[in-house]
Amino acid sequence: MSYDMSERIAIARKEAEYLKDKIREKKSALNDSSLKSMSQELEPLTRIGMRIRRVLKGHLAKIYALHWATDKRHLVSASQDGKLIVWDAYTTNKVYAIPLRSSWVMACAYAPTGNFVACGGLDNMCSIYNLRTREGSVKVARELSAHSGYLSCCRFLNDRQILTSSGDMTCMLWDLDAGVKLMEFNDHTGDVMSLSISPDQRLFVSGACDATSKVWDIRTAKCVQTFTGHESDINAVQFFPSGDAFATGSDDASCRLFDLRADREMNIYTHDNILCGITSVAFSISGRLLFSGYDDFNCNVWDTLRGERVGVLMGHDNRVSCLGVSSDGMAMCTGSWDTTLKVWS
Amino acid sequence: MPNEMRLQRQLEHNKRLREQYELERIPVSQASTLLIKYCMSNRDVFVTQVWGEMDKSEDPFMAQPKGCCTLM
Repeated sequence: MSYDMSERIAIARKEAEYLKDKIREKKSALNDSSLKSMSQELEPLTRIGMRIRRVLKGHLAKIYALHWATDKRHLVSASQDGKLIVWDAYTTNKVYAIPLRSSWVMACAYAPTGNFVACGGLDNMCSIYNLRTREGSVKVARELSAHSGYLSCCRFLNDRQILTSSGDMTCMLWDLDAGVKLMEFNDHTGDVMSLSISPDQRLFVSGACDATSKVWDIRTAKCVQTFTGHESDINAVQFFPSGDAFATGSDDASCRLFDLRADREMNIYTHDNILCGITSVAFSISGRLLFSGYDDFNCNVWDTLRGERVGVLMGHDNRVSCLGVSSDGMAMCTGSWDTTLKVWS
Repeated sequence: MPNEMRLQRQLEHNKRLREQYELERIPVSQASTLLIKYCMSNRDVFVTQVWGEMDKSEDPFMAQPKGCCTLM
């Protein structure tokens, strides 16, 4: 063992401790207030009056995922009955019922153009379906295979690129024309459970079972920020509408808000009598409300700024596994293990 | 693990720490102000206290749908 080498290691370790102290100092100097205290001057929101406007019935088994189309009226849902259903939320009609090769589906997504939907799960693949073929029938366009673990989430950037997250602890960016992996996002030390793309599409955030959420630069595949705070698996992440912050939901029974510019946790949404995990989170169009789906069959509505719970949506007979807000902010849809989807407004 | 690898690992870790240190951050008060401003500047039909009740004609779930059966 070279004396020089062991000395260099010791010096590097000392430098690491020094840097950690400096980072702590810097962060502490910026901790001059809290979102909660600064929001006290805002009027508290009285009970939010949302009710069920439509019930989408048709799946025969637990629903695991849903995603709204950008046209504000259609949405796709995935169930372990082995089907993807595309619904018209205004009329409750089923526009497409797509049989899947693998029924163990955990994720689904609607392309912004409306031309494609995607899904995946325990088959470790992301399957892309073309909804607008020349022949008129829905066809498998691509089967993206490279993950060595289950597909937990997928989101289209556009008709040519999709991002996926997996139980193999990585995220991947795919080229749909060629059907190949373009980039790999590698830094989590636990199953990656969810991802959300920023409004300007330059970044995405991922949440994982290592209790951290990470912000990634899509172009360079670099992890640009890591946020800690949660005490257990993060099951859901969603960007705040401005793209400057994001919310997370975890098995530790809390949702949290993290701000990219402040590089820290800004608020925590929890209650003494909430003891179960959160499966899904979504913001209302202004970001003022945070909807969160729970294992105890309910959906809680939080005031993002003041941190208070402003409503409880009780509409399901089993776990709320997924939820989402339409692009025009006019409707919120919850999906459940009770096999139904409910549209609230 | 050979010492060369240990040193390499530590140096890479330090590089990331340095990047973390140099990251430009804004104070919590400023970030809060910006978040509050965003929420208060974008119309939200679910926050009736701030933006008022939605007009019935605007509500896409009120309009009589064309087609046979619907669940209201």
